[in-house]
Amino acid sequence: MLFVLLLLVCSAVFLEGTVTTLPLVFVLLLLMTIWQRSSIVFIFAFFAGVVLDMLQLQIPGETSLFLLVFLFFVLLYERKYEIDSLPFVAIAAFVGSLLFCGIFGYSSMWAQAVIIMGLAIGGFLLGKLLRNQKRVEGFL
Amino acid sequence: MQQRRAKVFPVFLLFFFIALILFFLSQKGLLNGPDGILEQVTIPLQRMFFALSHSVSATTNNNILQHLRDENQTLAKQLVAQTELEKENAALRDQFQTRTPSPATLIPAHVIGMIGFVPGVSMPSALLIDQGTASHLKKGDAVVVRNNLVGTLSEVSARSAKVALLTQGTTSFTAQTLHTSALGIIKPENDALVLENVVLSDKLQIGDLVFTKGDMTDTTQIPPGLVVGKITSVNRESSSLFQTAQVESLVDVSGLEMVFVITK
Repeated sequence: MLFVLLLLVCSAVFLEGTVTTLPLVFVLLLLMTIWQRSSIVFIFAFFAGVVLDMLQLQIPGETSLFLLVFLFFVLLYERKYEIDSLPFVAIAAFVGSLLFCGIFGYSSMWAQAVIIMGLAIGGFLLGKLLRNQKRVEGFL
Repeated sequence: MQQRRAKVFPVFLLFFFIALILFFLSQKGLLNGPDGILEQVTIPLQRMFFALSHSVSATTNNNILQHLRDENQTLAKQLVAQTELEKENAALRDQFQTRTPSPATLIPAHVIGMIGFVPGVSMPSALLIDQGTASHLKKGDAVVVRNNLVGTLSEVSARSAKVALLTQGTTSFTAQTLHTSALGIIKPENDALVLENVVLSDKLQIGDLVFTKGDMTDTTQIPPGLVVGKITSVNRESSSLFQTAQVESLVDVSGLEMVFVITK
């Protein structure tokens, strides 16, 4: 499982650093936080952020700081809100990517935020489907 | 729940402080050495990802090539490699046949990333190239394709550099129109180029080409005679001191795979 996540994060880092600047790493880490709810996401966030900064010739550490703080807030509010829900994923992805694009000066931030929200919803539903399937297989 | 939170908080704090220290050390320029070493690993990977994405988009536009790829994957891999080589050769041949800028001052560089680019949504605001201070590039150097100005270097590390495109950032320089010889200043405005400060007595024509006049300062090194673009609209009001014109670049930045940096 950890290896698959690592592979996914690495792919997202290189895609974001070369092909497109959609915050793919952010949305992937957000979904990981919601599903895993463990401190491992901070390790992923730190290293992914540093590599991403180096690929995009930004100051190393700034993306890591954003990701760490945002994911920490998500985990902080897990008791107050049901974070494993579609509305939360949609809102967190939209607000987070809007902040991300705003802070790092990306153009078309609204369009990017909408796309990221769509990706997050798609990823969340796919993950839920896979988890349900696993549960059914386990029951049988 | 409480126990998990107790575990999460120290890990967050640890990585937060490491990131903070890293950020401040990088800002002070104390991490330039390790950066360069890491770039040796990341740049080939970045270049491979970028080339792969471009070849994928090229194949989706070409059904025959797609069909051939489906038939024989090995052959297709060779085809992609050959096409890339041909493109690179053609770009080099084109560039070195151009008289201005002088080929002796040009450093060829591969595009390895596009910042701010979302296909179909937004155009890139900057390009990442695989050459840096190791190839004697420096901040402010002009980047061209044939004799078209693409942008200037805004950040340079050991083995990579960021190209700020003309339509973005704060770069402004003097320019002149080809047919009417009207002088003005090119500035970026709302993701487009504007020729400003052209006196009303000068004539601006739609379709006229705009060339650089040459700005060799400490921060920008733009040689004269480079094509900036062509005039698409003219804004002339008799009550104003100056007239302006919208200028469109002749280069499709999103399709670039190779550029050339002019060095002194």
